[in-house]
Amino acid sequence: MDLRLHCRVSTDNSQPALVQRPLTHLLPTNWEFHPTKITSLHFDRRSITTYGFTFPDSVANSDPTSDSPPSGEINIPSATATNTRLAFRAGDRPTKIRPPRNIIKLEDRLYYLLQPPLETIFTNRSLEFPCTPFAYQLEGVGFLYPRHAAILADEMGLGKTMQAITTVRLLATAGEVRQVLVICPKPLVTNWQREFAQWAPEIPVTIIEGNRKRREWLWNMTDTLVKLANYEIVMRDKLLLKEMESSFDLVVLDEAQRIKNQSSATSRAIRSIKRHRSWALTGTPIENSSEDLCSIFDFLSPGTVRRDWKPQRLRQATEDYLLRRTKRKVLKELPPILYRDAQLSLTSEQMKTYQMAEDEGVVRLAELGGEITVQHVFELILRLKQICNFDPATDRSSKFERLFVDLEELVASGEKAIVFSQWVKSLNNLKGRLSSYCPLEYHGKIATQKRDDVIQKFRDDPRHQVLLISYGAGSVGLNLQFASYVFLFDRWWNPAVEDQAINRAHRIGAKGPVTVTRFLTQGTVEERIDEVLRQKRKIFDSIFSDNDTPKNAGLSQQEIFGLFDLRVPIGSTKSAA
Amino acid sequence: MSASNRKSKNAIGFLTILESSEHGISGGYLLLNSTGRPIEFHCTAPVHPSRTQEILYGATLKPYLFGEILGQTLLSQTQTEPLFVCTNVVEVATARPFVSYPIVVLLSENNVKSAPSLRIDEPTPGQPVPAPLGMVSVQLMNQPAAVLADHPSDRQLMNDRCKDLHESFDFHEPFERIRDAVEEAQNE
Repeated sequence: MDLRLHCRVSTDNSQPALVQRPLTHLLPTNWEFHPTKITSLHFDRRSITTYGFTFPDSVANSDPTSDSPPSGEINIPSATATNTRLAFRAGDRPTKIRPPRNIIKLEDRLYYLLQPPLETIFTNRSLEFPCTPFAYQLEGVGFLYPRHAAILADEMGLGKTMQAITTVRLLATAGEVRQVLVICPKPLVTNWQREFAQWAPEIPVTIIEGNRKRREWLWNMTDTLVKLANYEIVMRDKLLLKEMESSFDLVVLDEAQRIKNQSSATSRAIRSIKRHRSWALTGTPIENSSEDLCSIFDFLSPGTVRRDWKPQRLRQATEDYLLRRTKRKVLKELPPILYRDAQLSLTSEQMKTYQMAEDEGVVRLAELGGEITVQHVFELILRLKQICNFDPATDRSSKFERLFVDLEELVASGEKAIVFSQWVKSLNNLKGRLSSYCPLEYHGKIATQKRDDVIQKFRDDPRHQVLLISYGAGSVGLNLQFASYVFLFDRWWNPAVEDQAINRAHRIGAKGPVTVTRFLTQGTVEERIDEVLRQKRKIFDSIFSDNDTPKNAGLSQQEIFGLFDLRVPIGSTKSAA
Repeated sequence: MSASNRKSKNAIGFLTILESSEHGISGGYLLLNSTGRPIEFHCTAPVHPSRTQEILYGATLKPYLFGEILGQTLLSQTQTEPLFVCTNVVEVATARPFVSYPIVVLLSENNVKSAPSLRIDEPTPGQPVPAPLGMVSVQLMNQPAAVLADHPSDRQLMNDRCKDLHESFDFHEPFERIRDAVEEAQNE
C-alpha cells in the first residue's frame, strides 16, 4: 500500500508550521512479490544420475590361476621352450580396440572401449609370439577384433596372414569364436598351415581334403577350431556346406579378389556359407574396377554399397570397413625397391619375325571387318609378345642376352634371383639355357606336393641361385625374401599382379634392397602396353588416397584395338580386360 | 543399488573424476579382474556446482564433491565388492569411510600439487612423492601411493591383497579407459 501525505504549510512565520491536520490518503497499489531464492549448499546424492552395466561373461568369480578357463574360453598351455614372452617395442603406444562406426548401441561401444590394450591382453593371457609384431600389425589386430565385416587390404608382404591369425587367437581365447573357416587359393593351404603353427600353435587346424566321404566327415567335425579349405573344395562341397546345421563364427577369405566376379559360381558358393563374421584379406581389392570391391562387399556386408555409386561415395561408405597400409608408410626400415627398366632392341632375327607377324596380323584383323572381336586382337598381342621373348625360328632373344649378363654378375656375388614370365614355354627355354646356374622351376606344371620342396631348395641350397616362376603360380603368398633380384621377363596386363610378384621378395625379412628389372622391347606392342599400365597404376590411389576420382580401371576396347591403330567395330560396348 | 556382499577374489576398482569446462564434473568407476578384463562400469551424469557452493565450500568443495558425493555414489552402485579401489585423484580418498575396503591414491607430482589443501611439502623432482596431509604412504607394487591415516589397517591390507597380482599390472592405464568411456557416454 502506498502511503501519501498531503499537508498545507503556512507562510506566516507567527503561526505554527502545520495549520491543518495533515491529510493522508491510502491508495491501493499492486506490489510484485518475488519469492525468496533459497540456495542449497548440499549436493543431493539421490539426484545424481548414474549409468552402468556389467560385462557379459564376467569372470569376477573365476580364478585366473586355475587350470580351467571360464566357460567358452580356450585354455592356453603354459610357455613352451621355443616361444618366449613378448617384449614389446619401447616407445610404441599401447594398441587400443576401437569400436567400428556401425556399432551404435552405447553399451556395445563401451564393451570395446573398456577392453584393455592388446599388449596387456597378450601378456595377461600368456599369449606368446615367435617374434615381436610391428606396431602397425597390432593396429591391424585391433581393427579386425571388433568387426563382423572387414577387409584387410595391406600391401603384399606386410603380414596380413599373421594379423588374421593373431586376431582369431584373441577371439578364441575370449570365447567369441569356436568355428572358423579359412578359404584360400590351393597353393597357399600349406602356407596357412605353417603360419598357424608359427603364430598360434595351440589352435587346432583341420585341412579339408580327400575324397567326398572324408571331406563330409571333416566338414561336420565340431571339435576343431579352424578349418582350412581352398576355393575349389568349397565350390565342390557347396551343397554339403548348405546342409550343415551350424554356421561358422568367422569366415576368412584369403586373396579375396577371387570373388571379384559377383556372378561366378565361386562367388555364389562363398556367399552362401552360413556365418556371423566375414573378413577378406587381399592386397588388391580392386584389380580392374571398383566393381571388384563391390563384389567383395556382397560377401562381407550385402547392401552396404551399390554398384552405381561414384568412387568418392564408395570410398566414404567403405572406409570404416577397410584398412590398408603400404610398406612405404609403415615399414620405414624395410629396404627400398630399386627399379631398373631394361629397354632393349630386338635382335635382327626377332625384328624380322616380329615385323612380318605384326603386318600379317593387322591385315588379317582388318579383313575380319565387322566380325573382329577382342579375342582376335588378344591372340595377335600374345603372339607378338612371345616373339619379343624368343624368335621362334632361331631362338634368339635380346632379353635372354641381357638376363644372362645380369645373372652372371649377381650369381658371382652370391645373390639369388627370381625370374617371372607368363609362359611356361619361355621358362622351359630359360631353364635349358641357364643350366649352369641350376635354376629351379615353380609353375602350374610342377606338382603341388613338390612345390614346397622347390622353395626350400631355393632357400637353403646355395647351388640353386635362380628360380623361374610363372605369374599364375608364383605371384601370391610365397615368401621369397631371401632373393634380392627380381626379373620380369615379360610384363603382365595388370600392375597389381606385377606388384604381387615383386613382393615375393620385397617383404618383411628382406635383408637389403630388392632390385627389380623390367624387360621392355622398344618399338613393339610391349612398349604400347607399358604406357597403358602406367595409366592403370593411378587407379588404386584414386580410391585409397586423396587423389582425384578414378577413371574406369579396365582396358577399354578402344585401347586394345588402339594398340594396332584399329577402330572398335560398331556395336561393341563391353570393357575388354 | 547398494553393493552386495558378493566378493571377488581378484576384482580391483578404479575410480576417477573428470573435470570439463564444457560438461561439468563426472565420476567414472571401472571394476577389473586381475588380468585387466573389465567386469563392471559405472559413471555419473555431469554435476555443476553453483557459484555459491564454490564460494562457501571453498577448498573443501573437491574433497566433499569428489569423494563423499560422486565417489560414494559410484561405489554404492557396484554389484561386486573389490579387493581395493585405486584412484588418481587425491580428494576421492574421502569416500573411504563409506566403504569397507581400502581406497588407495596413486601419487604423482601432478595430483599432489593439485590438492593444495592436503599436501605437506612440495614434491621434489626425482624424489618419492610425499603423502598428502592425513594420509600415509604405501607401495603399490613399486608405485608410490597413499591411504587415509584414519584407517591404519589399510596399509597391511594393501600389502596382502597385491601379492597375487601380475608384476606387469598397469595401474595407470585403466584411467584412460574410463576417460574414453565417459567421453563416449557424454557424446551419446
